[in-house]
Amino acid sequence: MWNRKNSTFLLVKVRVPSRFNLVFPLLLPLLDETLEEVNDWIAFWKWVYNREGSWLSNICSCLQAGGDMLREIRALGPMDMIEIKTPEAEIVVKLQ
Amino acid sequence: MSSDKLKILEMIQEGKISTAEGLELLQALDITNKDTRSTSDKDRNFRVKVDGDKTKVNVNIPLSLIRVASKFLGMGMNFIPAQARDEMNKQGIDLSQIDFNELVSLIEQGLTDGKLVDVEVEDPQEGKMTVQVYVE
Repeated sequence: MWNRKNSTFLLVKVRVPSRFNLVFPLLLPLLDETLEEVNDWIAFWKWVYNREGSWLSNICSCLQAGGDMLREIRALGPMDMIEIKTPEAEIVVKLQ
Repeated sequence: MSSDKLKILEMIQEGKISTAEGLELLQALDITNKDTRSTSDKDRNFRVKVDGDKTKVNVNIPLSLIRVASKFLGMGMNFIPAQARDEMNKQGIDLSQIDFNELVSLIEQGLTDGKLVDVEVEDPQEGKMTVQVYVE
């Protein structure tokens, strides 16, 4: 398990038979970097306006936690997370 | 103190092994315990299984991810408007009292081999259904 490969995509598949078949591939490394950039940017404005304890610092800590979660998701490696099959629809969430 | 550690200490007391050997054994035991703890935490999953004639649900979320997500949820509470929070407080709901870390710890500790939910239902539309929530 220590050699487990990091996952790159979070795939969300939604299939409604005879209507549509959607696949959302979420590129995790890109999302991680974007979160980091946005967090740096907000941290800068927080420092400029010296707004400790404001909604800005709440957003900052949320973005940081989001980044931690993304890294944890990536470290899980390829796996099937959610699979829901009903006569009306099929939803699959997996890491690849 | 674990029974293994106690046994090592007894062996030292009885003179079966030297103090240095005993110390080495204790250190080795600590390393083994740490390894098994980290492995089990990483490999254990929170699972939800619904098995019916028409519906099938399979949810598989690692506990390590739930632990990180709980931190995220705790922070998300800060975004609830003050007015809504006051309203909830009046109803006796205090969101700041929810300790997500403790919730995850309870799941980890209390469910070493047990199931949270194991129900079998007979639905007129869906037919026979089994719902299982467990940590594996």
